[in-house]
Amino acid sequence: MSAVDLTVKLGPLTLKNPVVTASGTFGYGTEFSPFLDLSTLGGIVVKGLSLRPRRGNEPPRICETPSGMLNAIGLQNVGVDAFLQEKLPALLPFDTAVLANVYGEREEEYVQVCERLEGARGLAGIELNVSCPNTSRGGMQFGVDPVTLERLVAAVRRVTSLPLIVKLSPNVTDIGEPARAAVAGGADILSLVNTFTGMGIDAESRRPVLNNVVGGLSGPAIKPLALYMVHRVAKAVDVPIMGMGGIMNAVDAVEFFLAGAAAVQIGTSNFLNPGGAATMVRDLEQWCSRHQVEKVRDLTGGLRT
Amino acid sequence: MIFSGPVSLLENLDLGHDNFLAVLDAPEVGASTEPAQFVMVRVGEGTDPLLGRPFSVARIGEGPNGATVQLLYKVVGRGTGILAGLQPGARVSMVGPLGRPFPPPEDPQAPVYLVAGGIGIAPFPLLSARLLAAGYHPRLLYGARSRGDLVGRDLFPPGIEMEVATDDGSAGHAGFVTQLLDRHLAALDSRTRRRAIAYVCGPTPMMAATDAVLSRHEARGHLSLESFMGCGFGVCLSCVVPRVGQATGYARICVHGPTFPAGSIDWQRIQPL
Repeated sequence: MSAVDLTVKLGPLTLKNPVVTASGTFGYGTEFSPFLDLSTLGGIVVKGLSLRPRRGNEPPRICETPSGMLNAIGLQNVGVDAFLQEKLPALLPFDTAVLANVYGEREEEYVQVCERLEGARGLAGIELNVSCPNTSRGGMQFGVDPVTLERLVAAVRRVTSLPLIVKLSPNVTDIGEPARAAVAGGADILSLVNTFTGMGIDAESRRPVLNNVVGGLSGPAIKPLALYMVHRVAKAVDVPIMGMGGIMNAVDAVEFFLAGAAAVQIGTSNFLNPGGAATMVRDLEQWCSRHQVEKVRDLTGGLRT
Repeated sequence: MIFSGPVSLLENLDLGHDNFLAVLDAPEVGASTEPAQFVMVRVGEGTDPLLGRPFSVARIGEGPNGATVQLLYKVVGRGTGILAGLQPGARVSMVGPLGRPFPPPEDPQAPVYLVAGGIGIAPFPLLSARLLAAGYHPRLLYGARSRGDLVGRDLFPPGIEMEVATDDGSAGHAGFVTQLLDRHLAALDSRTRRRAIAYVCGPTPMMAATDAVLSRHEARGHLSLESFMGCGFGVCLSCVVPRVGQATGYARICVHGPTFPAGSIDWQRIQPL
């Protein structure tokens, strides 16, 4: 059994393997140290960072749905300054690509957060969150209008030299449009999909389950939708894609590669199987070996139609 | 490292009134669990239900492979319903132990009260065993809706003094368990009262009332909170609770708790569900 080459190159970003943990499901990384060796991961996207700390929404913030979950956390986070002072240095000992997810209520806030991240030691890239469905301002409103999105990405592009990932919202009619807009603005990589807007209702109390009324749906329930969108975006643009949406195991990841993703992000799975992302790296290597795939990057876009 | 993996169900005893005791073959977890720590348990092979459920560890026993982890639980929804239907030999996923345990009284002369409401009895058999071993003489005050809901009393080690209260008066004091605590504290002289310590677990209104009793008597205490949780180790940010004096932020029950010092939870800001 020859060793499988797991490295992937996404434009300016090279990852030792294509398994990356998704923002909002992996804390600031070190929370998972009791469960896995962070150095086994291709990358870590930290919880979305805003200019100032955010307390998030009132609970209840999550609920379970069939093979999925709804969340409306509201971007509770420590803020970019505390991230730079406390969270990022703690990740320096690990051999993995640390990616900062950035959120803003206004274009200016995105720009300011990215300015502060510029030159930070140990940071491998930025992922713009233009797709959070759970905040009253900012977030998804930037991701669903192509004109606004292109302007925002271009503004951030001017202030950062880091690889720039734009995380797309699936809550649009044709995801190809924001994908093209993000690339026109200067995105190096697209990641998709963020959660689908949804809601839960408690029939007994006749009330919404989430305090925020609406939330974002994630988990295996959305995988077919996410696969389609990755397939769609891969046809629409020429930049590398990080695919995500309900990936629970290495075979799910392979499906995303075949749809057109160069890397994958693992999200909801981290909650119920905290060591699972590391297991997926090993399982992916074995899957490739069993299927005579020498380089995992050869799977990207390999769908037979 | 924190254990995360499959474990086997050794027994699943029906205690009546929708209450069960699950005995799980989990030596690594049992060997390191402290009172009020919890485990996340996920049932089923597929992805529905998707998330684990938090369970307080009621007791650590001896099994064929070492320690067993025993969970006293009430069927309240789909996850616990599926768990209750499992037969010995079934496998479940477990993550744990998680959370911050009840701290010890650290005063050999302290009167120690364990105040339980309903299935909030769960962490107290283990706490009782540890307190007895450390030379304390805890008194259990146990309230429930009715006589049949006073489950798990036989899980306690011998030597625990026990008083019960029921809402309908079918056993013990007719009324709330907080009234029992109030009486006990009121009967102490003021110096002893300030040394007293209560460990509390139960539904939110009962915990808020108990917190108020402790505050009125200037007694110490620790409350173990519960919540639906997505992960159990601090990253999903769902089990948040407002703390006194922290107008701008929340504590996470899973990692900052589940135990919190009396007087530290801002009950006014907890919305009724």
